[in-house]
Amino acid sequence: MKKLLALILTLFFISNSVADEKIIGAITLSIGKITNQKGEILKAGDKIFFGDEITSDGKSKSQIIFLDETVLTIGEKTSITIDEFVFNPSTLNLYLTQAH
Amino acid sequence: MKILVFIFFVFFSFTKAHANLVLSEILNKPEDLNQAFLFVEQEKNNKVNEAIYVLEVLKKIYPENLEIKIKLFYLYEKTKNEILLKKLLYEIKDFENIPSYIVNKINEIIISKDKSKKENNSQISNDNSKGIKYSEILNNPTDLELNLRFAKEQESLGNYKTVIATLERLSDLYSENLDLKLYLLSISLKIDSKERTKTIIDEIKQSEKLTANIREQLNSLTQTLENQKKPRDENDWIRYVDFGVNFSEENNVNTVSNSKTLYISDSLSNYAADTIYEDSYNDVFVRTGAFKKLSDTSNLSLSLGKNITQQNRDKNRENDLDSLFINYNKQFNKNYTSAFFSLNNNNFVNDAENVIYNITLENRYLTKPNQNFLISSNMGITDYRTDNTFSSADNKNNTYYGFATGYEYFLSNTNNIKFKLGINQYDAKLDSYGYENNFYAISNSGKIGFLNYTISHSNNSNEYDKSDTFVKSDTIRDDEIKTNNIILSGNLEDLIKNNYLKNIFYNLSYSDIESRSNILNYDYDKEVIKFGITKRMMF
Repeated sequence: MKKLLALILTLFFISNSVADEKIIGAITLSIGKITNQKGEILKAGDKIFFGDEITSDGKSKSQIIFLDETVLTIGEKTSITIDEFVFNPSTLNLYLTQAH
Repeated sequence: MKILVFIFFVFFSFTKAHANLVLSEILNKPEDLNQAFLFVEQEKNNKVNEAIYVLEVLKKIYPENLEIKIKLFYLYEKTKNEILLKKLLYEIKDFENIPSYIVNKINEIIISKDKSKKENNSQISNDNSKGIKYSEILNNPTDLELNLRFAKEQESLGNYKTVIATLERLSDLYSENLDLKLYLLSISLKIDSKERTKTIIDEIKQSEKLTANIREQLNSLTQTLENQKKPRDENDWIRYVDFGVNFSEENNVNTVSNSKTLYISDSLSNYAADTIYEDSYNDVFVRTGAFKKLSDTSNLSLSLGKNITQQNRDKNRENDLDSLFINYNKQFNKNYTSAFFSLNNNNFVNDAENVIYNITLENRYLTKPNQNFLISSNMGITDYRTDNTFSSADNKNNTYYGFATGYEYFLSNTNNIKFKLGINQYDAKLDSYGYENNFYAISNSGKIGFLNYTISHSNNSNEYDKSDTFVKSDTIRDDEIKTNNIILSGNLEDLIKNNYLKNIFYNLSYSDIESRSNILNYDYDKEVIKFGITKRMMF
């Protein structure tokens, strides 16, 4: 019984983590240094997932196109988290952007 | 034998001529396609790059020529230039009568590639029906040709924001590509984005590939943009001039009493036999004004006007009026406060010149979103100018002050009911001209289609301070005046669609006045009909 419960819990967490890994758009332009929250350097064509934090360095510029065909241009020295305030994955709606 | 020699000679000549073709000759005469094709045939084995170069030049000159593309295809294939080959196949695939070998290549390289994309689960996909799929752009954001075609498609659909986003991206990626920037410029001009257009022009001017001709056109464009009238700043003064005329018709222009008699120094008299009852008069006026928004919660307006009244039969209405009006409005919380100042200088033909100064302070308190509680107070001075003709006119000089309160109820955005009541005290130099006025007024304003209307009723009760010995010495005058009004107004352009009729306003009004008094001089009825036209010019 414990094993069954552990299995169900594991499956539950896996399914939740998979659900979070939703592709919601892509980097379509990457000039200079554009990174995500893992420190990975992003280039044109890289996918954007819900919850990603995109950061641009000085003299850098990026463009993200979301699945709802909205476009977000990120200027230099900008950090933006793609959370529900920016993009609603259930309705595919782009909200206001939060730049820091 | 002669024939053999001739054939040999022709063959030799042809071969000689063929062998002598050089690249510069072909490029100098691009219109001679046969010559160019001969050169390609000649050099495709030895100098294949020169052959390719010639065909690429010809392809730009003759973009619709399939033969050039086919020859180029074989040379790309021969040189195993996969990127250019794929690009060329995209260009060829929409032509008709393509050789079957190339059709197979198109199927193999382009269509199968698209198919494999769909089958790849890691790729973003959506199901937009026609044209380039949005997912293709997300998967290939740097593909110049694909994105350019996407931009063209979106342009034809009128999705200019998408076109701009695509072209800006491509322009950043291919910063040396002048054509991209020019394309972006053309879209920016289409969507009338002045600031963006200026930025793009500045970027293009920095390009090393800029020709003198393009530079000249860009300078001309910049000049045109700079010459364009700046959009009005919302904090600027908004100025106007009104020209207009009002036609009036009155059935009792001399305010003759209902009894057709009047008291003069306590004696009952008749009116003169030639007293005019019905008459018409018209006002011609010009007024200039300005309005300025001082802040988000306050504004100021003022106007200056000249009004000349001419009467048809009698003279008592003939007047020359100069006026000044200033209004300041301020909102704080739920209060809308207004201050008005007006100055009217009346110069009647049959009466003394007078100047009336008036100040009104008014506050509307928003009790509910569609209801206002109104309070106002006013004060003023009426100053008659005496002269040889009107030597005792200054007896009518007065100062006045008053208070009013009221309520406004908005049934809708365009329909409201107002109720107002108040009191005014007029203190005249000669007490018989001084009086206390009590009034109430109720009105309904609204809009039916293109027509604005106001229906109003007012009641004024005037109790004079002292009897007038020039009229009836034993009676202190006491009047009650009821006025019913209907006013219709609107914009002429709403009635007749014509550009010349812009900002021409009309108004039509009917007034019915009943005055009841304890002195029969002031017991009268009258009706007035007015029609006016005003042309407003903004500047």
